[in-house]
Amino acid sequence: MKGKTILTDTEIKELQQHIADYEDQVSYQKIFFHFFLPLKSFSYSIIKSKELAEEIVSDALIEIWAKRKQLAEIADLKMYLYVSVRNASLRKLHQNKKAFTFSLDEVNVEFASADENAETILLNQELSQKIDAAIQQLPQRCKLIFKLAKEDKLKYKEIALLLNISIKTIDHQLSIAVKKIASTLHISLKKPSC
Amino acid sequence: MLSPYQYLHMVKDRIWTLVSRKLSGEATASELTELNDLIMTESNADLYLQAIAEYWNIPTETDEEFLAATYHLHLNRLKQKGYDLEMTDKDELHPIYFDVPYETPKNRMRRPALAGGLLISLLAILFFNFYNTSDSAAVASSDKTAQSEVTTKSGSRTKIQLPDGSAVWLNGGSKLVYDNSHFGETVREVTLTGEGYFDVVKSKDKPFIIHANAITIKVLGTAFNVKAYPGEKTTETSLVRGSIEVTLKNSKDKITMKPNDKLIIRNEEISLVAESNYAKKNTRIGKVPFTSMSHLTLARDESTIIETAWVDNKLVFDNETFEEVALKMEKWYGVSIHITDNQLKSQPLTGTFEKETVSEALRALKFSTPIFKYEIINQQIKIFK
Repeated sequence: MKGKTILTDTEIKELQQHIADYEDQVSYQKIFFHFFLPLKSFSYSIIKSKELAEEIVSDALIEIWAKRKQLAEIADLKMYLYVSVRNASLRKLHQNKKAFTFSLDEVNVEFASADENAETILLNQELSQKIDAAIQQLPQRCKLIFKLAKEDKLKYKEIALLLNISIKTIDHQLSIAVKKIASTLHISLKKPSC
Repeated sequence: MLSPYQYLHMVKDRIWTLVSRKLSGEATASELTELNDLIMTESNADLYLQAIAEYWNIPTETDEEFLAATYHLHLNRLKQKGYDLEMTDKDELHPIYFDVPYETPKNRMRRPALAGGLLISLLAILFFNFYNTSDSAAVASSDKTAQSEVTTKSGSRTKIQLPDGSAVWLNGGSKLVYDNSHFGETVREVTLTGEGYFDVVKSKDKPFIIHANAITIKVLGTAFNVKAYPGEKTTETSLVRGSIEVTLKNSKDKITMKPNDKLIIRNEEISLVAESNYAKKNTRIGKVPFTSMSHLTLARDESTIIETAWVDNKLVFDNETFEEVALKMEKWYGVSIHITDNQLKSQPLTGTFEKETVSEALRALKFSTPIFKYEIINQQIKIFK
């Protein structure tokens, strides 16, 4: 079943409680299944190595188990994990490169593949893919913010905290992305062959 | 001063900002209104918006096999750090958390929609505990003389044969109540306090029902263990074979258990002082059971299931704290154990006791974990450093 691993914020809070109170392994597994792929993708965008990204995320989730008794005390597990992964990824980067400068323009953003069985009324697969391709052409910084908002479902405040940017920047970058989608639609729909 | 061209661009860009805000759920009410107004001025804008929204909302695919494989690797890494976890088959990962809705005038509005056994938010409603043993014993028969009651003292176990041929093994400090004369007429109903292992004879049209604390178990033909000691924080059900259906009191939700499932229900006992009679009738507060499902624990040699080892007259514990083991030993041997040192309380222990007396057991424990001293005076045991 698709989407079975996605959890709401309330569900996450409950799982935290179950892990803290009962060392519930099932809850822990669900947390892992929910967070692993998006966190790995985020780490990868910074560290640009799949193996390292997996290690970093695994380490962050090991910490969660190690600290399970106090887990319920974390107010926002999602942000805790994203920030932890960000820091670990930047640290790893610093280890490998001597000079430490990191700009959002250097990220390497990979989008998750779309669920092919998703029902859409106005879009067909061809059109979807055209939009995907158009998004790929956007600057990395824009793509990252777009991915975090659209796929990872982070709030503006969360993205701002995570990337150390302003809400205004987020507004601006997302409008660029959405405009790109619109113009792709516009171009595609204006073609006589469609 | 902006040229008309620049102004148009500005307006258009404002639309995209608003659209993004709407799709991310960040738009305020006034922003949504503003967006609607802007859309009205553009032809076909709503169609574009719908297409954009569709694109934005296309779900991503989760490669569950990849996740499962990655979790395996993750568990290995955890093992290297000394954490021994098990993986649950992804088909069994369905959430089993329940909410017990109570219709008091206050919370009637807050009653959440139940989505067929899926995870729902657990409302932190405080309930008054009326699930005490005297209540649960008032079950089927009004004819008190036909009530059969079997009680075991701490430290003794007994096997009961029910009128239909089903067998119940009662662990120490437990009680089984049932209506002897009407048992099996339409239903086969018992009430359990403490711990019991049930081997139920199949009879489809005469359901076997067990009341234990806040749960009701309907047996669909089978062997399983129920642990419902009063004063303990949890109620546990472990299924060895067959299948059983568990319902929480005052809830329409059902949990169906399959072999090797273990269900733990936390009994929250909250007491309301004084006004108890009034509270009982009018506010109808009760317990909020919390449930979690996991697997039965196999002892290290893999042939003994810990939860039901007592049926075979074995006391088994696997990496449990001294405090937990002491609790088991208290019921098993009918003694009272007091551990003075906190460090000792959390000391993990592993072992199996079969025919040992309590002093032989303590001597064996001390042999394998020589960090404590003990003293036995009558039925009181003191454990200290």
